[in-house]
Amino acid sequence: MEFDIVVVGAGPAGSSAARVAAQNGAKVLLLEKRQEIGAPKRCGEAAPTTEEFEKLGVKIISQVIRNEIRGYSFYSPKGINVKVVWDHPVGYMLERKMFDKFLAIQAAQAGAQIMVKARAINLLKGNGKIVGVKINHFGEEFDVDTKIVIAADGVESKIARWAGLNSKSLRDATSNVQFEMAGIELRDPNLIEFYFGSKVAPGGYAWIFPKGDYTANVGLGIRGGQTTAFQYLKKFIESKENLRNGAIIEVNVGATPIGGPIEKTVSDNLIAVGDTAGHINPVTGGGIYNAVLCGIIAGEVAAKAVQEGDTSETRLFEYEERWKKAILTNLEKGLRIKSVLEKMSDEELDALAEVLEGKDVVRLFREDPMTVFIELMKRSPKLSIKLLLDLSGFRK
Amino acid sequence: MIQINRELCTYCGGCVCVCPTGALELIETYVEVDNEKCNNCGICSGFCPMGAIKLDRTEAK
Repeated sequence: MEFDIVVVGAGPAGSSAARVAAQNGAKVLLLEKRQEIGAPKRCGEAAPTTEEFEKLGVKIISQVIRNEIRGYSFYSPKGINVKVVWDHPVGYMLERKMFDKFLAIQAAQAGAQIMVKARAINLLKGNGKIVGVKINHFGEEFDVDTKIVIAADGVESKIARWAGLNSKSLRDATSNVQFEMAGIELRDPNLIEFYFGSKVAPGGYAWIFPKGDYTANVGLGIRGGQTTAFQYLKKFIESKENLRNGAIIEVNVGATPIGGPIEKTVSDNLIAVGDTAGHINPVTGGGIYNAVLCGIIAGEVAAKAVQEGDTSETRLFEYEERWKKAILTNLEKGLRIKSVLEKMSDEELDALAEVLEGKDVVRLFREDPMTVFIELMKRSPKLSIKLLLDLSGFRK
Repeated sequence: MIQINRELCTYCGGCVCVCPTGALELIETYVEVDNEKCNNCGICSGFCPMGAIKLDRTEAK
């Protein structure tokens, strides 16, 4: 079998890349090692608004949307609540099983071939360059020739490693467990809740992503340690009256790389996209939008490179330039905020929450961010200076 | 050598993500360990969100 482009992994990045490459005239094969595209999810399922996706030319159908998000509700270690609420939707809760399939269907409609339960077991090389992929499909092994491989095989990517890309930043990850729960009453069904504190989730936070109809993704992420994320989550749920009696209808587990993008996302005949490329916001853990955006760029660049007969690293570098222009500033900002949050003690988080409690935070930061700082300066001069230095990038 | 409790493992691939030597692979519903590459560092065991990986140092080469 011979293809122009083989995409490994049918998540949002892989399916978007496959669709766009096929639309640009390439002969595309999309591989998914699981028996089902979109499951099991490793995701809180929040994504930006449909308008944001429309800017990328992706029209999201209503069947994949579960709920509307209008803001965030933060709880400090000692329970001080800070709400950040907009008067319009700022995002949507997706049903990933449906969303991922919807993207794969679009790839199929564009002409990409798809194989599920098909695992890439090795890269084939000729003269030191990638010339194909060895595949195991329903237990049968065979080789396919290809000009470009797009690595969309997620956090556990083997392709990126086999191709020699340095994926060290992916190893800086949080350890997460989430229960999709049913039969639970939320304070506000359109706000995402975050809970901070070294007792709740050391090195991370707990979350409640409301999916509507009295269901939510309740989870937490921590830095690994003696106590597992699973144990912390059970403790968290037990401590919440509104969650305690809910039913667990799904268990979702995974690693979220928060170390930023990998050093290099292209090499000869290879492009890395999505989680494989480290395109995850280090604070929110969000990666769906970046995955679709970068998948689209990858598909376009790969198809053009094939047409031009030049699939070298130099040619594919256009992908790296374009994704950097689109999301690098954001990822770097996320890295800075992450390192600030990580270094804040429970007392400091409480002090910050006290300053923001009961305020119209969205307006405050838009119109008068200095008052936040002045208030904080009065309460905790040490913390104010620390935050100022950290956020301005003086301290790493 | 590491021991993976397959009843507890949710095959999320987190251990594969953090493994510094590339000794682990998520096949589909199980994790395969390459004992040639594994150096018993224990990072996967400390990371596993479910606590499904135990490090057995007595059997180390």
